[in-house]
Formats: sequence, C-alpha cells, structure tokens
Amino acid sequence: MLQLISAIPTIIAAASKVSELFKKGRDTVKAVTGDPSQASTPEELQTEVQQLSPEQQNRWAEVMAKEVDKYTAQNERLAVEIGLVDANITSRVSEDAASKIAIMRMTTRPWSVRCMVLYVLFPFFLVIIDMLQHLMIAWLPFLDRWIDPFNSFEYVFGVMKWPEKINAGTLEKLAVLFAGKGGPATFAGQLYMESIPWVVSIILGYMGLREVGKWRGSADKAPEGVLGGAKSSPVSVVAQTLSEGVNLVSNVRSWFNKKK
Amino acid sequence: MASRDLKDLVPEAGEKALLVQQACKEAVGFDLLIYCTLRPLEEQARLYRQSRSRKEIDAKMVKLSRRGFDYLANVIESVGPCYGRHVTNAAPGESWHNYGEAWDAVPLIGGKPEWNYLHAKAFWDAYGEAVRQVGMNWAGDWTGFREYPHAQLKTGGNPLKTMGPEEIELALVERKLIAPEMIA
Repeated sequence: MLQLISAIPTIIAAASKVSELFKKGRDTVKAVTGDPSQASTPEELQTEVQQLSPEQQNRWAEVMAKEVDKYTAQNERLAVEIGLVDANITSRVSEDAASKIAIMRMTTRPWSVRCMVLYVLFPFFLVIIDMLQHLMIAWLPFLDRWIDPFNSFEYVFGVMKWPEKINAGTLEKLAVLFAGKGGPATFAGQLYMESIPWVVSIILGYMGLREVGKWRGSADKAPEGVLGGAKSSPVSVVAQTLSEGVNLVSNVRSWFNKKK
Repeated sequence: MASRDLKDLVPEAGEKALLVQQACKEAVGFDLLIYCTLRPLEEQARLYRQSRSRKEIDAKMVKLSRRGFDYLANVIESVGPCYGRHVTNAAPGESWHNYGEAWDAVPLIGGKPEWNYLHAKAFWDAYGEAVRQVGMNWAGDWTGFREYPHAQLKTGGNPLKTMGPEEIELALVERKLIAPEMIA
C-alpha cells in the first residue's frame, strides 16, 4: 500500500482553506474508524487523524489525497472552461502544461452538444426503459401494488405506462411513435424526426472541428502555436488581471513571511 | 443594524482583521473596507424573516426548538413581520457574524468599493490570501457558494452545526449578545 501518512499536513492545510474538504475529512474519519468525527477545526481534525492507527491514517490520507486532487482538477478545469486561462496565459506556461490545457479544452463538449447527444438517443432510452419495465414485471411480480396507481395516470405516460403482463407489442408501439409506415404516428414524433438531421449535423460538425483541433494540437509545435496566435492576440483584461493576481498574492505572502 | 466596528469582533478576529487590512495596504496598496462585523441576532432574524412566508418561519422555529434553541426561535418571533428581498439563508445563530467571529470586506479601488470579483480578481485574491495567511477561512475558497467578501475564524458554514448547544449559549452570553435570562 502506498504510504501517504507524510501527506497528512498538506491535506489538512488544504482542508483548512476549503470547508467542503474539511467536511470530507470528517466524513472520511467516520468511514475509516466507524465513529463520527468530533473535530470542529482543522487543528482538531489533524489531532484526530494523528491519533488513528498507522493503517487508518494511511487509508484516510489515501481517500483525502484523491479528494484534494479532484478539487484542484475541478478548479483548474473551471478556469479553463470559463476562459480565465486564455492564450496569453498559456503562452507563458511550459509547453507541456499548455498542451494539457489544450487537450482539456478540446475534450470538453459544450453543454448544448451534450444535450443534443441525449436528444438523439431519446428513442433508445425509451426502448431501454421498456425493457427494464418488462424485466421487472417478469421477475418482481409483487411490484403490482405500486404499478397500479402509476398506471392510473395513463393519459400522462401513454405507452410508457407499466405493462400488466409481458407484452411483446410495446416495442412496435414505440417504433410507430418515431417511424410508422406513413411517417411518425404523432406530431411530436414528426417534429423529432424532422429535427434529427439538423441536430446530427451540428454534433458531427462540432466533433469534426474538434478532431481538426486535436490534430493541430498534437503536432510538435510551441504552445502558442497549439492554442493559436498567443503572441499576436491582444492581452485580455482577464489574463492581465489573472497574471497581476498572481503577483499580488505573492506580495501578500512575502509581506507575511517578512512579518514572521 | 449590523456593526462595522472591529471592536465588536472577538479579540482574535479583531486582531486578524487589522492585520489583513494592513497587509492589503502595505503589500498591495489598496484599502480594505470591512463593512460588516457583528450582526445582532435580532438583525439576523429580520433579514431571515423578510423574504419568507409564515409557514417557512414557523418550520424554522420548530426546528430550532427541537434542537434546544428555543431562545433563538423566540428571537425570530420577537422581531415581528418584515418584508424585503431574499438576502440570507441563515436564521439567527446560524451565521458566524452573530458571534463576532466573521467579517465581510470589499477592496476599495480608487476610493470606490469594487464589488465584482471578476473586475478586480487580483485584489480579491490578494485579500483572500491575506485572510488565509492569518489562519482564517475565506469564503471565496468555498466550492458550493462562494462569498468573496466573507471571512470567518472557524470552518463550517453553520455555527449551530459546528458548536454544541452549551458552547453556543456560552458564546452568546459571554459576548453579551443575548441576556442570560432569555436562555433560561
């Protein structure tokens, strides 16, 4: 097992700054020992953890190290996604780090594209729901008592109501919703089928552009080349503020170091 | 009305507030306006009540009473009806401001408060770092709901969950935030 006890002070330092990590630390103490944590401050948490057996301490540190990494990754990703990290920043970091940021950006789909993918898959989800319903009816017949009240709202759920007995015809009914002989049976089904080519072309277009981006990014170029014209683009207000922020924070740190 | 006097903070927080202000001024060169320190229980109750229905208020009072905080429930009742927009999730006793252990501050840029974090991220981050350096918790680090002006001595968003009932009573009485007979 990886020895992580030496990382405990660092983890506690992170937990003292982020209340959610502190809470997670307390939860982890409970998970490891079975007893709820009594700590109300990071110092108390540290004392509590140090009183655990070495195996428990190691387990605690192992879980918490992952949580701290996750928190850091989430924050970094957030900064990349909302554009706080732009080409002017990436041009100043190492080539390796800039490439990682570029890949992260390329592999992040906008929420609209994610929704469109779910939209396209909607009929398949219906089929899966129907299969699950049939499986449950076949294997768990005592569920009837809850299914009956649900089915009384048939006018809401339509074909998605629970089957009373195994019914092989449901899948055909579902298929008619989206693809009958003379086209989809319902107006909603028609709208859906009309929209599919557009949605699919948007998704494919987006994915195609992303692949082009990946292809460009994977070439052995300097980071500014990877991310597109960093030197030529004007310095953004956000980037300027961000880089200033780094300096101001270090000013504060050195002020306190001198004070000590 | 909430106080903005540093003397209303507990001594530890008061000293740290001065240090943070000094750090912002000397290390970065901006003034830090601390605009809220101690918020009395009654003020918290008014803010809590002003955007809530009677049903919600009653539910909160029942919850507080069940947990042994009848006096806090009484404070909610005593302030009477209040109307306004939603400004807080914390009932009396649920904010560190009620114990003088937290403050809210804003950087003054060119003599004006800069409320928008993204407009003055550098200064807000410097303020946050100063808060961390004095060993306090900056709410700008929170992941659920970031409240950049807020700094508090202890971790945890809700004192009633962080401290035990006796500790709460002791803190409120010692700091003369509630009369001992109200608790009895």
